[in-house]
Amino acid sequence: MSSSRWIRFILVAFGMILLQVLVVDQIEISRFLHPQIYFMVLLGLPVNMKHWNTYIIAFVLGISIDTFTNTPGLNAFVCTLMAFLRYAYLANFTDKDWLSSNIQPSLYNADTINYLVSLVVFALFFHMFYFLVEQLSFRRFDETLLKTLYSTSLSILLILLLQFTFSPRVKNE
Amino acid sequence: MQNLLRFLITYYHFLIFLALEFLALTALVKFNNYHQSIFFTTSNAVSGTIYQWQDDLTSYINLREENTNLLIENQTLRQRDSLINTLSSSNDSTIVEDSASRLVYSYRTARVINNSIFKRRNFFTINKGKNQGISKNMGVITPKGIAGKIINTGDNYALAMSVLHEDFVITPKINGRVIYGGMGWEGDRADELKINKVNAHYEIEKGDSVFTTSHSHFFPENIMIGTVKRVQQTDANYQELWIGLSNKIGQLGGVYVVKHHYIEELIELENSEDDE
Repeated sequence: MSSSRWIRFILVAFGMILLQVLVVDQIEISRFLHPQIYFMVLLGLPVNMKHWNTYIIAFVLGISIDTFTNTPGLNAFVCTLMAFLRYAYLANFTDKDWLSSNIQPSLYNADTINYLVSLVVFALFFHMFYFLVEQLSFRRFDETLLKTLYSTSLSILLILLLQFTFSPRVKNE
Repeated sequence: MQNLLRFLITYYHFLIFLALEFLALTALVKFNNYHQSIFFTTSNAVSGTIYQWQDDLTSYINLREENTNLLIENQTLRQRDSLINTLSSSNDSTIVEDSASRLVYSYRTARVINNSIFKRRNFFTINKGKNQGISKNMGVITPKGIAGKIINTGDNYALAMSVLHEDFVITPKINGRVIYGGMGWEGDRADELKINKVNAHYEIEKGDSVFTTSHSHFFPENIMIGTVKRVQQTDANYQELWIGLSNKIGQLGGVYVVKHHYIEELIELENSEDDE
């Protein structure tokens, strides 16, 4: 990434962390709704970025959220895992040319359907792992599933709303 | 050696991934035992300050309710005034002596600046810390009842385990009788606690008040916990109780932090008994 893209990325990440802990985490309507939206920062990393860079970014992002939510390690663990799985997903479901480009996927600069599918898959797995690791057991798995479904739905809605509002509608360099 | 180097070079991405996951998992498991440093919690300076800003912006929303609570508390205190033996005050802390005229509990005011109620383990952060005399194992109460206990302190902020935390257990008393078996949160509703095994012979009815006992060192005796919401007979010997909390944990604002002056001595004594 060029330095200007790094600066933009860091600003966006900061903004998302604050949005998550100061706004989204304050939505306490039901115990089944615990949406996470900050992980979209990970989805938007350049697809050709070195794997270990992504892991470290994911870990730092996660531990930053953990510092605000008193769950040291929880978000860091899930984020790093999702960064790992993202590469597995990209390697299997996207074409090689696209993988070697430095595209930062978003609603406007990737194939819309593909992006939406990856967003849904990513969000589902993220929430599933989040609730499983939070509980550290498979007890009351039905409840975990319900939490995952409701929280994923709300978080996708919020992420799309954010992207419609703030994402620049221009192609990547 | 060369093979090892080649292995490391080939798989370093994966090894970094494993190392980070191990680090995260260690932090997660350690935190559950509360031996953690304050760095990755809201009692540190950075997140504490950010939540303080947020509270400065939003605290006016609940002002009306907090005012009402204070008025009710003032009224109760005025009524009780003549009964209290000794009550001396200094700055923002009030000292209450027990019947044996020995200083046991003192109170400090604080504000809750961050709170959660729907997680598996809920915590809240208060805007006072070590510098203001807050330390671990102090209870947190409001005029309405108990709220939690301090588990971690930073310089100017402290982290409390909410009563809505799966590890929060307290021994209550109903109709003057101490109920053993441990009362705790089931993780379902943010307004009720549960006692699993209560002797079926105890006559307990819906609406009975539940108070703290002298068995808990974090809270003074006779602080309200809530009222019995539901009683269910499980078998011939036991019944289950659901307790509706008198405090709305989601709306905590101003709180009192209770200091037990001999808690370290008590804990040390109890631990030494365990060792034997």
